[in-house]
Amino acid sequence: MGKLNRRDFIKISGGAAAGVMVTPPLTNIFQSFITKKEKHLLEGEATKVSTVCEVCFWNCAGWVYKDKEDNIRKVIGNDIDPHCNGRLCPRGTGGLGMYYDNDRLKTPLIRVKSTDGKQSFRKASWEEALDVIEKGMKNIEKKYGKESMALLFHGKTGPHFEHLFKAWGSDTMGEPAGAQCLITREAGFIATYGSGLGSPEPTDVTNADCLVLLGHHIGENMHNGHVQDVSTLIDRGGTIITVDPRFSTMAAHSTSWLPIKPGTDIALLLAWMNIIINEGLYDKDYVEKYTHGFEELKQHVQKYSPEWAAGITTIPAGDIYKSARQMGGGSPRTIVHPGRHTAWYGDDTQRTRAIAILNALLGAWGRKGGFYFTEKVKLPKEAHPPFPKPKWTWKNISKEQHKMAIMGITNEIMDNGLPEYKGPYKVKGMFFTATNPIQSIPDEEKVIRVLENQEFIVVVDTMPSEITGYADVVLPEATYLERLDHIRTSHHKSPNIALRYPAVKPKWESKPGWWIAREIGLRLGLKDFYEWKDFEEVLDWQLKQVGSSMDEMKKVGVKHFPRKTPIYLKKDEDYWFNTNTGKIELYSTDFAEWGYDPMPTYKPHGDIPAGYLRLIYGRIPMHTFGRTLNNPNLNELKNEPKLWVNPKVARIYGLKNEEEVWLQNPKGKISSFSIKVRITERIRHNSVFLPHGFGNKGRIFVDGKLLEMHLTYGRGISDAEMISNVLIDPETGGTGMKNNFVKILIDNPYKKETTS
Amino acid sequence: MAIEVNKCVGCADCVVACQIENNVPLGYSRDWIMEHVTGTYPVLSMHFESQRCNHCDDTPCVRTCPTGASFVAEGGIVKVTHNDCIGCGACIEACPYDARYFHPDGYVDKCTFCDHRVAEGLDPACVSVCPTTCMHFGDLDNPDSEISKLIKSRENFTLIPEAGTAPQIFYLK
Repeated sequence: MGKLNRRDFIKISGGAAAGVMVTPPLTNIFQSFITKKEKHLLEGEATKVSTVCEVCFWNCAGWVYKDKEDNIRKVIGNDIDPHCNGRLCPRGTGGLGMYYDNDRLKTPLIRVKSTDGKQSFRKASWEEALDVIEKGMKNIEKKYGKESMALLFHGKTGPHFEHLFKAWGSDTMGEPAGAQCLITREAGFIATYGSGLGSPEPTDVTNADCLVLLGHHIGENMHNGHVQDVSTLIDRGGTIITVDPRFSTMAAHSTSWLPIKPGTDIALLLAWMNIIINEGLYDKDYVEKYTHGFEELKQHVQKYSPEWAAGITTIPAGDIYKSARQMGGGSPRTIVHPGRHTAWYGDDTQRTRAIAILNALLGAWGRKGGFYFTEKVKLPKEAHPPFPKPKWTWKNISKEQHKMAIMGITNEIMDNGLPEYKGPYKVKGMFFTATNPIQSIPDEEKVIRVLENQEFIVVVDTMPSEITGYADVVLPEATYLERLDHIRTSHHKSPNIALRYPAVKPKWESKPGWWIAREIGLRLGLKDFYEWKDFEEVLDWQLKQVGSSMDEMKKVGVKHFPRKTPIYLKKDEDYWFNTNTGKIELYSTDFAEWGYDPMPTYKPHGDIPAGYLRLIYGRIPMHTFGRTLNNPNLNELKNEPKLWVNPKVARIYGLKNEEEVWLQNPKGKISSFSIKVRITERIRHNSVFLPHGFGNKGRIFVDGKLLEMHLTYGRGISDAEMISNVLIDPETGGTGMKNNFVKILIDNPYKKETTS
Repeated sequence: MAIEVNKCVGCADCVVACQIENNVPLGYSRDWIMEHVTGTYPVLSMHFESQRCNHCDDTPCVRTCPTGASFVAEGGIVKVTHNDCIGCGACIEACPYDARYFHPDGYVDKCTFCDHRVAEGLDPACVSVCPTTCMHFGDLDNPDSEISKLIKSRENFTLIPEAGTAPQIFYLK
């Protein structure tokens, strides 16, 4: 099976599809319960089932409202849930569309070779599909060892398969949420405070007076609780300083917007430190009591004057002074937000370190209106035999060269699956759950070469995203509204737990992740690791250990527990930080030892090549990456992205609003699809903005019939496809993706090909 | 209704909540988001407006309706009796806000301020979900209501006041 050329498959299916009509009527995708007559579900008539939202990683708790016919009618936030405070974001409100989506994976699929040589899938029974997986995984084990089967995962399904892989004997795993998103930020804060941030980030915005955002788009990323917190800051007339090359939503709501030249954030951060130290705006008692290396830092930042930074960042020195004084004036109720997707320029641990240091100077960590100390309920793990010890793990792949690789580095796990990889930690099989590496891991061509080189690929997902086209076996997972998952134990101001309970039976032949993982486990002889039949038994036992139960959680959805530790530092409290010195390390002793910069320095990243524009990508509030684009309710809010260009650029290229264009990167890669232009002053003149997640090109044939995410297939351009310049963060191995450039093509590049 | 534009992030939660609450067919909507940008980079300002029927005090839509299907209900909510509507579209023409649409079933449909929820003491769906709490609903006839006080305390504007329809949604700066 490994011999099949997967790239050909994609090409063939794309070509063949041109002759296939793919226009299901709108009504087909519409909720089956809807008659055309307006019909309201009144509170008293509804049955409510507790859920935890999976439309994004914020995991808000809510209630699924069902009518008498057992149709899901709406999902509403749980009032006592601190992630959402009773209000879901658009994606959570529209989450039910994920359940009703008619393009979902409905049955297990097995790759076949059809008689005409084209590769496609056939519907299979669960029995058959699971047998193929058993055989495939055992084959990898026999040829290369269990370790060569890697797991890439995301979301609440992940833990079920982590358990499976660890029980089997492979710890070659990672999630794009690390190396492609927040690992650099976690590393920067761990190096400084001995502790990372986690999710939701413990920013005490509701008590802050000043909030500083660097390229962090609260309101466009709908990190629900944080959007709500910032709203209260606006109510109180607090100061918001937004640093962004794009006039973001939050920039518009800010006290001041600093339109920075992309890639120069560290210069600004160092200049801010310079002013805050030299003008004595830092929290002197706090710095003296809790930090290590202040004198070194003071010396270090002398050369980074605001006047110097003005030349680098294009922000006038006066604005740099003014904003630093605003931050100092608010101290200690100032938060310099750590951001979330921080994999930007390949020196991201250093940039987030600079943010961490700045917060320390302002005395924000452990203080009211700064960063609070979180507390979390610890649920005991169910008993099982000790996991076998693999001969090697993801740590062998990444830890040696990246000391701060605190979780599996997906891109390096992928690299070890390349045909040219000759080292001892070969990846020969891959298992994907709820993640689509075509969009989530940069450098698409390389990702595809890795996939083509695999001998066995399993995909577990709810939707036929691009990765399904590369699988040997595809398993349809139930959506979050149909399945039971681990209890959400969030670390927050008040420790709390939340229950996701299946509101309805899984549609079609889909199955919950726990069931799938267990069935595979039993086939691989891991009976001792699954001494339960239904995952509900595990949860009930866990809940009883902390004085609750399934019965109680079904009624309340969210349960709070009393805090045992203080939320802030007490005045003059002696506090030991989990670093070498026991202090907040302004000067990192670990980094000095490992040969990284012990204090952040500014290094230029290289400018825009002539004839190109910088590619800025980001979130839009109604979608979570590519996974929500085909949700009929959310697709309705935004079904097509636009390429933002500045009016100056439009004049040069002669572009009109809504004009169709293509993009090309410096390596010559041309976008698969076109995109319409939106001319707006909100984007810098030398950049374009592309909403992330679009440009879906996943198509498979099942028993000769096309299966695709038909509401979003071919709409817009995928930023991942255009990103070829990946800058690796030395401390973590994270992938900097913001130093990429594109050219706008006005003539259809594909039309030329067909006529010549 | 009052909407604080200094807080709205234009996420469209109000739009999807309305769609789901009121079974609005996909492809149609009773409310929507407008983005207003002014200035030249880097001197810019922007706000979003969540727009819908303004439930005007002076209603050209009701005046032009030949069958009486469009009417002003008690409390000032402008409504359409679907069964009485012949789908002539006169009200759609008359509305300066483009707030009405032809429902595929052959009648004209629009925002009802979720009067079925309001009757139960709940906020309209759009107001109840808004993560920024930028939307407020209440009794504008009562000068002592929370919403009346809020509007009085803030600089505000209405949409297309020159149409002379006395719109009842106030946008607070």
